[in-house]
Amino acid sequence: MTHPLEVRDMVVTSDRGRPILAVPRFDLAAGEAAVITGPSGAGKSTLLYAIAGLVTVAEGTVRWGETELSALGDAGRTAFRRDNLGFVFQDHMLFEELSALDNSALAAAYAPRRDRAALRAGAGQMLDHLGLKREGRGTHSYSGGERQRIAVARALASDPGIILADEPTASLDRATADRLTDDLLALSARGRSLLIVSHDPVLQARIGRKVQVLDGTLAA
Amino acid sequence: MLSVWDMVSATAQNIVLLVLLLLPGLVTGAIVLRGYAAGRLLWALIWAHRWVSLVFAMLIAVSVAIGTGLTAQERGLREGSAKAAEPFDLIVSAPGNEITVMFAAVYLQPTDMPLLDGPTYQAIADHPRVTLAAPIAFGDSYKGAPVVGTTPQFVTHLAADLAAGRMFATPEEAVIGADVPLQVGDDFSPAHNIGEAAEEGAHGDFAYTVVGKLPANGSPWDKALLVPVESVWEIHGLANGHTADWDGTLGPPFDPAFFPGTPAILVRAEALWANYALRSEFSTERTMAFFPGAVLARLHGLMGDVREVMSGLAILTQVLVAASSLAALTLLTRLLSRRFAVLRAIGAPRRFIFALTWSYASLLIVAGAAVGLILGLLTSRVISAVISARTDILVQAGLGWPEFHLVAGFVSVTVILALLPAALTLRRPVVSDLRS
Repeated sequence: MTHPLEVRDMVVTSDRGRPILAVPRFDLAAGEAAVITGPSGAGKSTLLYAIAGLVTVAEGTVRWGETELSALGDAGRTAFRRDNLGFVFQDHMLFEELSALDNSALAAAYAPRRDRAALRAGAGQMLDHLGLKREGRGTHSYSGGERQRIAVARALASDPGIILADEPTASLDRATADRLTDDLLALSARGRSLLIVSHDPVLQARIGRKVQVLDGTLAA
Repeated sequence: MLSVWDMVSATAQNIVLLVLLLLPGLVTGAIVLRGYAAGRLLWALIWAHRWVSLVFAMLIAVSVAIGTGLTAQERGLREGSAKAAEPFDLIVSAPGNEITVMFAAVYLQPTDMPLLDGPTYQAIADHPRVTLAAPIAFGDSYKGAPVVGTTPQFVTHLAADLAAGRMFATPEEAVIGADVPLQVGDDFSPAHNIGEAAEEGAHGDFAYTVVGKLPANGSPWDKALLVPVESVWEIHGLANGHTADWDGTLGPPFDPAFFPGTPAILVRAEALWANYALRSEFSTERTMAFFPGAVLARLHGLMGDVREVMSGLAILTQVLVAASSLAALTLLTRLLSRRFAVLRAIGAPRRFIFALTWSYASLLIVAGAAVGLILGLLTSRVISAVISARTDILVQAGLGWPEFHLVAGFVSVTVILALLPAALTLRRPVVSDLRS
């Protein structure tokens, strides 16, 4: 299920209370794709983490559809991420000792018993869709591109409506990065909301909407 | 309630106690892991840090091995020494130290002891409730093993059936313990004295012929060479206990006038209860009567106090090692913090991270404890063999319920302690860990 994102007057502060990110207004329609750009240290990743509910916002609101994420406690935000968000990180962040399928179906470890089989089935289908074989070997033996696709399969195993990606192509060669971009855009075309933090000019060029963060402020 | 408990068999009581000791740990595990299927992930984390995990588990294993090995060893020594003393109901000697006499008469650790004279022996042997009154004579040896002079009746009391051969019937015959490296038909010449002071050839050409061999009974008597007490007296230039018209039948009755003296008399009464009356009767100004079993019980009581202190120290060591390991594990969780942060970012609840950390620690504790039990068993067996070789008391240390209870209690306490490092992982900042 996709949700529109609505951020209003959001301020994120450091542990000592210093403002590190201010977002007066930001909207992302359900099924829309956008890329967040800006120099290193500007607050791009912080924005991604804030709208994922990984940091507590000091002021303002973050609303995904009917859910005001910023008003929820940690358990509520965690449950929202589990049910609605898929995360792709810069350097895969896989459990390299586990197989591709086990990595993709990681959520089955903490999901309710009744959902586990469906999660593993979904993870398997996603691996198939991304052209990866369901082998028993650990993911340390896969190439960088394959590992990032496993990470994508993990993000999509529970069929979330929102995909958040933090520099997903940063550690990939050009050809592999382009293939991953194709995969992500294909997901967006199928109605999932897509928000990507990226320095990659090729990826930026392929996504119509760009949002820039400068000195801790979102310049829409 | 207590009466119901008393009606239950000892095995059932031990099983119930084991379950009760394990229960806190099992309940903790059931609560912490409820609703999760963390097996694959847990294995991945342990495999990723397998060497560090192995060190933790081995530290725990060594501490458990020390604790269980110590208690198993102490019990084995206690049981072995008690079994060795079983044939000795009552010992009568000249007044002195009961422990010294017991060590000499039961465990064949010779020492200089005053002798009981003929009339004293006669009074004991003639007592209507005494069925066996065996004088013993120490002082000779053969290749380091004690040569003990006694009566055929006492040898029969030690072993009703010989493992080989027959009872000695002449002063030149001997029956040997199971571990003496001689066979029936072999001859040996006794040396005067024992150990470094042994004088070979002091008794001239006198030689015994082995005519019988005792079965093993796990005591120092397995290495002893038993000979007629008459011959021991004779080769030392003393009377042989009998009058000049002696028909050559070994053993009592002895004539008080020709009785050279004995350091101890091994007494057996017609019934168990009669031993108490005999002890009382023979505890006089000139004689000391005691039950080796009672002296041993006092020694074991003393050992028991030491055991309790040692067991306490062993448990303390185990808990300290476990606590150190858990403290180190807290540091290890920092290595895992990025992986935990990923799990949190993709929707894993805090309680899942808590469960994962706790099960990581608990698995190492349980594995370490299991390996420790095996190590403890192996170590105590090696030490038992060494003690048996040095004391000739058969010590058989094995794991028993006390060890299982000790380990069950240890596991329960430490897996509950493992909640602490698990709780600390809840405080980790997810975003900082993702960026680390």
